Amino acid sequence: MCGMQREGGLQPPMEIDLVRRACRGDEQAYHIIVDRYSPQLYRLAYSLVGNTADAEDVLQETLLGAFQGLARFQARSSLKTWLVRILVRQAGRCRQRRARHRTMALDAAEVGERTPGSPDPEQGAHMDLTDALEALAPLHREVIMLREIQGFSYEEIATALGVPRGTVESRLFRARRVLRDRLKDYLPTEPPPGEAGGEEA
Amino acid sequence: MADSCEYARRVSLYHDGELTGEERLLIEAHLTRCPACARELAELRALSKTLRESEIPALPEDVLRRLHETAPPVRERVLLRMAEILAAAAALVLIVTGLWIWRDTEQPGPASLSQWELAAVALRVEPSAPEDQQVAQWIVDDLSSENGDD
Repeated sequence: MCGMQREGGLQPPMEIDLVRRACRGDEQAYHIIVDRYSPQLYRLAYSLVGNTADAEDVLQETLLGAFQGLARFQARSSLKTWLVRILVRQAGRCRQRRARHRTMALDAAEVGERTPGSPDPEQGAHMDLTDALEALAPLHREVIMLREIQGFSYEEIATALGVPRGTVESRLFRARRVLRDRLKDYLPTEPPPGEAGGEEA
Repeated sequence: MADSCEYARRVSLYHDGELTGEERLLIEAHLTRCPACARELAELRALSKTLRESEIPALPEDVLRRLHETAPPVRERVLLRMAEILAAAAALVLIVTGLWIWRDTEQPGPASLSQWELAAVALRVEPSAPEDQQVAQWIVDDLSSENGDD
């Protein structure tokens, strides 16, 4: 593997070199890209589509699509952000396919699995979180996952989604309001005593 | 709740580390005197913690192996590129042919006739008017007399 790596990606010159090699048909470059980016992309794919089978499909489509279109990567953003952008679109298509499929034929088994009322409180909280995320509008879900799971800055989210930074701010704010309202039973309602603030990122 | 406080959105930006140094100091000062915003911040932190600790499976080894196995070989990439070019060329031919056929079928009449059809129309012999026939007869008679046919 390459040296000079930063968190979740490579230094820009290394990325460009990797992309050039991949464009020339260097399969080793493809394997490096797969090794380097797949773990994070898989988690993001899972968080967007909600199951492992679709997450694998989305990731595979993303990597193949990216590899075939690598010549169009112009290094205006990082390779990771570019891959995330492709993945978010593929996940959107996947959700649309699934929605059409569900409209045509209800998947009784999956509905049965998600029946609420589990006696285990932790399991119940997990189901509520899953349900709350599932119920989010796709645009809200994308922005939440990019921020909370990928740890993207607002600027990176804006680049990945192809929207202005202000749109990211609004979507994130609204998405958190929706989630907070749905998960209020599991979230503290009082601030820590004597603590004024201090951001996380 | 913090909904009533105009600083609620800024608290969200503060939570995400998206404020400049000066803005950050302003919000920190505000948080000390606004319980609603302090509660908002606590909820944001709890929500982020819950989301980051949510059960998102790691990439399974077998999935990673399959991803490596599906690397498109170089030859396939070249073929794909050629197929793309051929498909684009075929699409162009189809579009041009389609437009040509459409033009011929949608605009009937002389404007749609091809060159040889126009030539055929131009060469068609129209029935002669009586005056023309008379003139022609005079010419024939005149030529005949010059040749000493009579």
